[in-house]
Amino acid sequence: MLTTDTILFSSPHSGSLHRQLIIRMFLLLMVTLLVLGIGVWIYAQRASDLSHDRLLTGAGLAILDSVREQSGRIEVDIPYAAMGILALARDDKVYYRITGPGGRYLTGYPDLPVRDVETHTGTPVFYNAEYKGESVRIALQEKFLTEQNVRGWVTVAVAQTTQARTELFREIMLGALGILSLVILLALAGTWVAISRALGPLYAIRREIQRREPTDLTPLTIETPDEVTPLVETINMFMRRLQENLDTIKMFIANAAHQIRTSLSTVQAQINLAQHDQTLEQLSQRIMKINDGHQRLNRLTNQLLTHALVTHRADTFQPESIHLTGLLQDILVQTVRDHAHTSVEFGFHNEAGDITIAGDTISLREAVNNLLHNAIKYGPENNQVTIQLQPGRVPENVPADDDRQWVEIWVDDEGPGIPKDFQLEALKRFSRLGEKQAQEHQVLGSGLGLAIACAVLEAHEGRIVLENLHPVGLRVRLCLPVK
Amino acid sequence: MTFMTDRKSIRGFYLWIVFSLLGCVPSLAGAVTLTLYSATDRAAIQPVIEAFNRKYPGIVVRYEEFQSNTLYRVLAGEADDPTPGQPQPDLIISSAMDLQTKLVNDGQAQPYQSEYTDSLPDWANWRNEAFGFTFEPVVFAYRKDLFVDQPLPDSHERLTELLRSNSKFYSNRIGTYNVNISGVGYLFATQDAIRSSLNGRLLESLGRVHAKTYCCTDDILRDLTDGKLVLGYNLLGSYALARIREHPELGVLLPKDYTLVMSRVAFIHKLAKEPGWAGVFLDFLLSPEAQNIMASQSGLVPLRTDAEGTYSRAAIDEKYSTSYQPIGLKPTLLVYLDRLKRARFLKEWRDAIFFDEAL
Repeated sequence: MLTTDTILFSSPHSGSLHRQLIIRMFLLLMVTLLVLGIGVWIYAQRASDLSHDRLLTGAGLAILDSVREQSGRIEVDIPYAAMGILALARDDKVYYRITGPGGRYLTGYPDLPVRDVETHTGTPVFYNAEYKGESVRIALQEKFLTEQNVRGWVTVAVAQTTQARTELFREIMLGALGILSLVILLALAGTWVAISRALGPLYAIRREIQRREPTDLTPLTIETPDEVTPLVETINMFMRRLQENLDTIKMFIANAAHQIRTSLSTVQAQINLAQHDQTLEQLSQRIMKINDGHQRLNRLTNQLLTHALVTHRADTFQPESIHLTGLLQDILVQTVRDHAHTSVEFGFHNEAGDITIAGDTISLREAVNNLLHNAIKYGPENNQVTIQLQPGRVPENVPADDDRQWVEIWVDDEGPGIPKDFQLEALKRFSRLGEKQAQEHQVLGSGLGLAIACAVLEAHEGRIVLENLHPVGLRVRLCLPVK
Repeated sequence: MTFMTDRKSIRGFYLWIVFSLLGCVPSLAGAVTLTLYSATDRAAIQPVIEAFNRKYPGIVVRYEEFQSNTLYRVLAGEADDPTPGQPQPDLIISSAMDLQTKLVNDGQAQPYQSEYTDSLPDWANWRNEAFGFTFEPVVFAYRKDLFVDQPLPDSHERLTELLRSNSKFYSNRIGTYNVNISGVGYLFATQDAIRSSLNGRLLESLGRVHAKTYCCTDDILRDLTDGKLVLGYNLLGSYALARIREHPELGVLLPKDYTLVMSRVAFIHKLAKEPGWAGVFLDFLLSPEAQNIMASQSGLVPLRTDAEGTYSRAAIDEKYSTSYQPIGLKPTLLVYLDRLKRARFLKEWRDAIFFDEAL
């Protein structure tokens, strides 16, 4: 049962929110990891280079410091400390080369790849090279000798294999990546928990609704966080409206059935009586009564069908251009022709000019027709029924950003009006008021007229307003947006 | 296990036999030759090699003996190989730690790692390429009978004092390495220079008493035994300890202020024909078996503290008060191998020891 429902009514769905959140979070964290990883890579490279370049610089400076002029020759006395500094990176091999002015070889490894440095800035120059089958880092440093015979630049190249440097780089890199990965794992786990907790109330709502009987429309009583409370409230409101609609439909069906049965049995009773009537006079009176009853039944059936029609069209119609003045005049001409035999007066005022709206002609015609019928029905013998086309004001409960123009159709009569307290009620199908009035006034009616107008206006995103006129009369205002 | 009797498997079996034979034949016929180039007395290392031969009978160990300087010059390509046409060395052993370090620094070694190399102390293992396997103190040797009424120079400082105050007693009767000739002598002299601020004065004093210079520890010990010398300065402790076993009139002093400790260094040559067997030999050198042989028979003081024997560290520590200063295997050993540094050091040494000859 549940499965069938799920298949039949499955809504377009966009995958698991939980999974989506986790996947997005995961991707975001991966991007973070990548960016931080690149950052750490650069940092580790810099840090390891910097620290070991300092060893090279220190050793180079110590050697340069030992370079002296002695009786016209350059003397180099490699200090023990120089190698001691380099031996701090214990497992790295060490090479050096010292050249005098003009590149003259003094001591060290003669074939150490030494770059030509023409800068003579005094700041060390670092570069990588291959030497004896291993990659080495080389620092070049210079010192200017001022003594006459040896005047010129002495260059010291100190080189070291890159083992310790690479190790430090790896250590920093792995350490940082390890911590990063841990943090990201924690973040993912945290996200997982947070999402599960955040979505928990939704699951609770689902379980609660699944568990219910189809007829159970009582409000949900689940404790939910602030963010989910509006959803529960909306569901509750929706269920309340559903309940109300169900109630209305029940009442509608009961009323319709009752009225149709009553009318049918009245007509049936008159027909039965007519069989026993003796005189022609009696029979013609009977036929008039049968006619009345039949008319009521006819009207009732028409209105029920009309109501069904406009409700159906409200869901399905394609908007078309409606020339309002034309439509109203058309309706009025028809109505005047139908009531030519009565003393009811009809009037038409156009204050809005030529107005075209988008809508459904058939529905709108039915709405106005029903209002006119109501006006005639509930009014006195010498009723004055007036239709007006007025430039509309923007109704109260329209969103602020709605800047459409509005137009209003007024239908006035000189009937008793509707007490203010019952005006809202009157707009519903088979409203009690409608029934009561119908009984009071002994007129043919079903109370569906206003409901039909109401349904049509709803389909046109319009509003319907009832106003009592002074001293007597009712004005029904149909407010329509001009599209 | 079941025997399969179809033709295919029988043919396979024959093939297996043929291949096994092919695999065996070369190793049986041309047995593996492991070539050692070494600057160690053959007599001292012989018991270790014999033990190795007993354990691995298939391996022929070719042992070529060198002076430490010559060994370096041969490997560095500065001198001709004395055995041209023979295979290149697989394992190089020398007491000249600085020269060995230089050869490794210049890329002549290949790395090797085993549980034995891992258990070495830091100072005796450089880059898993150079390994120290002995623990040989640098000592003073003296004639006990001649020092009966003389104060013993039990430290470098004391020796310096005594050489000045007692110059007559020592005159022409003290011997030490000639650092010009001996690689290990140069190593000891430079290590003295690094460690002691008194070294200049000590050298000067040695010069004043006309110290005699030798190529090798054995020659100094011979002259001591013959009575030509009263004291030998900076001798290889291992050889000296072995000598006093046979000559009770000789004594050994481990200087109290500091006792240098030299470790014989072995490394596997980069172009070794038998690097695998060289590794096996190296492990054997570091194994308790070989270290015990060194401690009991060969007179090479083993590095392992758990080795047992007359020449074990335990035995030495028991007899002498010690403040060991092991010479660490690291790049600092390269300092005094610098061309200019070496020339300067040798000149200063000569100026001090042979001061009168320059006059």
